[in-house]
Amino acid sequence: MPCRKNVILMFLAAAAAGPLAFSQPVRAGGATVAAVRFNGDRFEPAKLTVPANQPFKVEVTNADNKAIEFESFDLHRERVVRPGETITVYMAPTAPGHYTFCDDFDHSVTEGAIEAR
Amino acid sequence: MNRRTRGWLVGFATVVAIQALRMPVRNERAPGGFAAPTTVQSAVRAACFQCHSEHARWPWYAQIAPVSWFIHAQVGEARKRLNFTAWKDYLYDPGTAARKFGAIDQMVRSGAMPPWYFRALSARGRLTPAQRAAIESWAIEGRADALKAESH
Repeated sequence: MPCRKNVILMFLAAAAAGPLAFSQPVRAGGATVAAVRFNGDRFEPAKLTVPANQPFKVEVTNADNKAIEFESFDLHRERVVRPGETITVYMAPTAPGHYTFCDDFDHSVTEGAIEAR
Repeated sequence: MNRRTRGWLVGFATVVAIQALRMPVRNERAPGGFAAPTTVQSAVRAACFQCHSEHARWPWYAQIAPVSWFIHAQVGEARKRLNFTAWKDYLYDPGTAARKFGAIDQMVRSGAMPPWYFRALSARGRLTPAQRAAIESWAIEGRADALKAESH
C-alpha cells in the first residue's frame, strides 16, 4: 500500500511543519510580520523569531473574552487588545537579543519572548 | 549597659550593616529622544525626569539604606512604565504613543504625578497650574495625533 503510506507520511510532515510555520514570521510588503495569539492563559507561540536590525510588525490577536495589555518593557511597547481584536504593533530595528512581552493586566499569564537574530 | 542603650546600639549597628547592601546608582542610556514645546519640555524635565528618565540626579540620601532601597525600587518601576529617554521608541508605534500620552494626561490631571513624596522633598516636583495645563494640552494633542496616525 505505497499510496496510503505516502498519505500518512505527508500527514505526519504537515502536522510537524504546522506549528513551525505558525511561529515563523512572514515578510509582507517589505516588513517582517510576526503573529502571536492570546488564548486565555498564554501567548502562542511563546517565542517569536524576527530578523535583527530590521523593522518588523507584531500582529497580536486576543482570542479571549477579556481585554489584555500587550506590554514589552524591553521594547517599550504598550497596547490594549480588546476581546476578539487583532492589532498591529510596529517595532523599530532592534539589536540582536531576547526581549520579553507580557499581559500587563494579568501577571499570572506566562511571558512570551521575541528573539531578534 | 541598660536596655535602652543596648537598643540604640543594636539599631545603629543594623543601619551600619545594611549599608553593605548598596544599590547601584546609574543612568543607563545617553541623553536624547524627548522633544516637546519649550514650556512642556522644561516642566517635564524638572518634574518628571528624576524618575522617568535615565537622567536622574541621585540625591545624597539615595546612597543610604534603607532609603536607597525605596528610591531605587520607585525609580526602577517608574522607568519601566514611562521612560522619557525612550520617547522616540514610543512614537515609532502610534498605538503605544497614544497610550503614553493618555497616561501622562490622566496622571497629571488627577494630581497623582508627580507623587506627594517627591513634591515634599524637591521644589522641582511642584508643578504650577500653568505648567500642569501646558502638559495636559500637549498630551491631549499628542494622543489625538497618535490615534489619527494609528487609524491610517
